Amino acid sequence: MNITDEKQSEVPSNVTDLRDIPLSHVSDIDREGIIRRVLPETLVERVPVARFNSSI
Amino acid sequence: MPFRQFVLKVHSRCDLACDHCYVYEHADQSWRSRPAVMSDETAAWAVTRIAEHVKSHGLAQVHVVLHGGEPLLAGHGRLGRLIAELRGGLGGLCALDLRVHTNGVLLDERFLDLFEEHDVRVGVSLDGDRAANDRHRRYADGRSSYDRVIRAVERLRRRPQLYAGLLCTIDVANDPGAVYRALAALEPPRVDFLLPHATWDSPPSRPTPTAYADWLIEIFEIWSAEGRVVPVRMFESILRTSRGAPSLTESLGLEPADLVVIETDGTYEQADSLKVAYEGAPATGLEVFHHDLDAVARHTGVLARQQGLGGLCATCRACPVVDSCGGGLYAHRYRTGSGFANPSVYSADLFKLITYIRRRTAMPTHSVPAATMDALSAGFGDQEDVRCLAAAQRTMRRALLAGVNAHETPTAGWELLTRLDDEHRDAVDAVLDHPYVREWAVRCLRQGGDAGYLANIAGAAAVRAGAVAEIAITAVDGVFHLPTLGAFEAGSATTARLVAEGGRFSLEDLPGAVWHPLRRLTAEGLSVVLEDTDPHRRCHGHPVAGRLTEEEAAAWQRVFAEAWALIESDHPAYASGLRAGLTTLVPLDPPAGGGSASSAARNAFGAVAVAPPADPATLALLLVHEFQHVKLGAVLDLVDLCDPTHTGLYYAPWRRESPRPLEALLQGVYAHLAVTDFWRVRRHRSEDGPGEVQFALWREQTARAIGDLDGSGGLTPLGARFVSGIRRTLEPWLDEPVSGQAAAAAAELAERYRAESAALRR
Ligand code: SF4
Repeated sequence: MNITDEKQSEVPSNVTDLRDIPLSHVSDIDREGIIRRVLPETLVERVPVARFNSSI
Repeated sequence: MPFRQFVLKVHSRCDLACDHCYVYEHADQSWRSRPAVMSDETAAWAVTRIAEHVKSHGLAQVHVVLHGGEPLLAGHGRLGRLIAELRGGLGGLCALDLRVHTNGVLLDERFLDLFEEHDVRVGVSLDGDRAANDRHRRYADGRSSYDRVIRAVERLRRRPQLYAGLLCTIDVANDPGAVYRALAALEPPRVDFLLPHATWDSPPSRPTPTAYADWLIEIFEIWSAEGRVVPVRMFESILRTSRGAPSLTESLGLEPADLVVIETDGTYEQADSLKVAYEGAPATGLEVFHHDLDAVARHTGVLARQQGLGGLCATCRACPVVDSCGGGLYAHRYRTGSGFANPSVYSADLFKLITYIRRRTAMPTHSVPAATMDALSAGFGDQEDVRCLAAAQRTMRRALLAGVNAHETPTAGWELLTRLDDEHRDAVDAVLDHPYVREWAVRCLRQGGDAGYLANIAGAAAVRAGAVAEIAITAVDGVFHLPTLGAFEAGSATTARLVAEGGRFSLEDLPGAVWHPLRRLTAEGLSVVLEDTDPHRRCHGHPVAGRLTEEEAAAWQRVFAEAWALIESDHPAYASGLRAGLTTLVPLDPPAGGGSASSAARNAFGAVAVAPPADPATLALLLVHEFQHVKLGAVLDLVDLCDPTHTGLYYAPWRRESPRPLEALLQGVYAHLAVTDFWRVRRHRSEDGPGEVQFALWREQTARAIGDLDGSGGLTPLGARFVSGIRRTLEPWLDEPVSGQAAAAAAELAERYRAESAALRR
C-alpha cells in the first residue's frame, strides 16, 4: 500500500477521540470544537476576542 | 449576518513611518484625502449606527477597536470624548469589548488613566528585539522608536488589567528566537505574528519558498518547549481550528467576516487589509451619516467574505488544511484578473506551518474507514460500520458533558461522575451511552436544561458501578429519572437524596416514592429499551406516551418481535446495522388524525420514537426509515457533507409544509432510499397492498431530490461522494418494472404533493 492508498482508506474527521480521555481532562479546545459541530449556533459569540488582524 | 466588530479609525496619520505599513505604503492611498482626525460629530454618528445595529440584531456583545494611523494622535481630550460616547451609547445595550491599538510612542500615564477609567485594553505593535524593531518601525527621520515603545509596554505591565498584548509583523531577516524571547520577556497576555501584507501582484520578499513557515516553526518549537507560556494567537488558532474550534483571528479559519471599518470621515470600509490589493479596494461607497450598518452588511464585498468554504477558490476548497487556513487573509489572495479567487500568496507557508503544527500536536481523531463510508452512503452499513459511528457518539457525549460542567460552578454531580469515570469507566460509559444524555446536555448548553440532572447521571453510574454514593438528585418533569435504570415519581418534591451501595439504591427522604423500572423489548438477537420514563425523550416533535401499562408494554413487545422478524427475513441489509445501533424505542401518542408517526432526533443516537403502529410491517418500515436518520446524523457529527454556509432551500415531497435546507433534504433522501427499498421488496409480499404505488412514487421522488442535491453546488467533495453512493443504489431500481396503473397512481400522488406544497407556501 502506498501513502495515497493509506490516506484514502480512512475518511478523517477533526473530532478528537475522547473515549479514553478522563472526563476531568477534556481540553477546552476539544470540547469547544465538538460543541461547535453539535451546536454551531451557540458558539457564534463565544470567541471572546476581536478577530481583527491588525489589533490584539 | 450582523457585524460584531467595529474598527474606528480615529486618526488617519502616524508619528512613525514604518516602511511595511499597509495604510501608507500599499496600493490604496485613500488616507491622503481623509481628514486627519475623526470629528466629534462623525464619532457620535458612528456610535449611533453601532447602537442601532446592536438593538436591531439583539447582539449580546460587540468589539470596538480604536485604530489608525496612530489613534493616540487624536489626543487625550478627543479620545476621551469618543470613549465616553461609546461607553454611554452602548453600555446599557450589550457587553462592549473596547480596545485601542497603538504604536506606543505616545502612550503616557494620562492616556492610561483614561483607559483605566473606561476599561479600554491596549495592544501595542512591536516587532521584537531592538534590531528587529528598528528594521522597520522608525520615525520619518530614521530614528529608532524602540526605547519609547518599551517604556510604554513597561507602563502597561504595571497596569496588567489594561495590557491586551503585542503585535509583531514578521521579517524573516530577523532572528525568530530573539524576536520571540524579546516579546515573551515583556509578559504580554497575548502575542500575534503577522505576515507582512502582500498580494500575488506584489509578493513578499522571501529568500526561500517557505521562509515564513520556517521562521514561524522555529518560534513554535521554542514556544512549545517552554510550555506555551505566552498565548500566541496564530498558533492557538491553528490548534483550535484543527480540532473544529473557532479561530481567534480573521487571518485564519473559515469563519464569516463580521468586521467593518469606519474611517475618520465616516465612510464605511471593508477589511482594512484590503488596502494592499488595489486603490479603492476596501471602499463601500457608504457612510455613517446616511447609511445604517445593515446597508453595509448587504454590500457584495462584505457578503463575499462570509461565504466560508463556498467562497474559496477550487484549490483551497480541496486543500486538506482549509479548515485551519481558510485561504489565509482575504487581502493576501488578490491578483489582478482573478481578483480574490486564489489561494493566499502565503499558501505554501500556511500549508507547511499548519501541517507541521498538526503533526507535532496530533491527538488521535475519529475517522471513518472508506469502506464504512461507502457502505453507509449506499444506504446500508453493517454492525461494524454502525459501531464506528457509535464510538464517535461516545466522544460527543463526553465533550458535551464537559461543556455543561464548564458553564456551571462545580457540582457534586460532576465530582461524583469524574471519580466514577476514573474508577468505573464501564459503568459511566454505559450511562453516557443512553441516547437522551446528549439531548439533556444540549438543552443545558442552549440554556433550556436543568444542569442539576448531572447528579442523576452520576447517581445512575454509581448504581451501575456498585459503588457507595449519596447524592442529591433533581426532579425533571415530575420524575427523578436515573438514566438506564428508570424513574421515581417525584410528586411535589424537586430534589431527593439518592443512596446507592452494591447496586442497590433508594431515595432516603422519599422512601415511599413509586419506582418505574425501565423495561425492554426483545426479539431474536436484539433487545432494546422501551423508554417511557426519561423526561428528555420529549424531543421528537410529537407528544410522547406516558408510562405504559403492562398490557400496553406487552402489545409493544408483540408487534416489535414480529416487525423484527420481518426485517430479518425481508430486509436483511438493514438488520445488521439496526442490531448494532438501535438501543431504544420511545412510544409516541397516537397522532390525533390517525395514521402513523415516527421520529429520530439528532441528539439521541440509537433511539427511535414511534406511535403504536397499525401492524408489524408498518413498524418495520418506520424503524428502517428512522434509523437512516440516526446513521446519517452520526455521519454528519463527524464530517461535513454539506457546506454550512449554503443557504438554498429545496422542495421535499416528504415534508411539504416548507422548503428544506440542503442538509435536511439529504436526510430525507437518505431515509427515502430505504423507504423505496422497503416497498420494492414489500410489493411482492402482498399483491393488493400499497407497495407497488409506494415503490413507484418514492423511487421517482428520491431520484429527483438527488438531482437537486447534485445541482445545489452546496455539497462538499465528501458530500458529493456520499450522494453518488446513494444514487448508485437507487439507479437500478429505476429500471425495475412496475404496472402502468401503479405508475399512473404514483404520478398522480407526486402531482398532488407538489400542489399541496405550493398551496401551503402561499
Ligand atoms: S494552504 Fe493554500 S491552498 Fe490550502 S487553504 Fe491555505 S491558501 Fe488555500
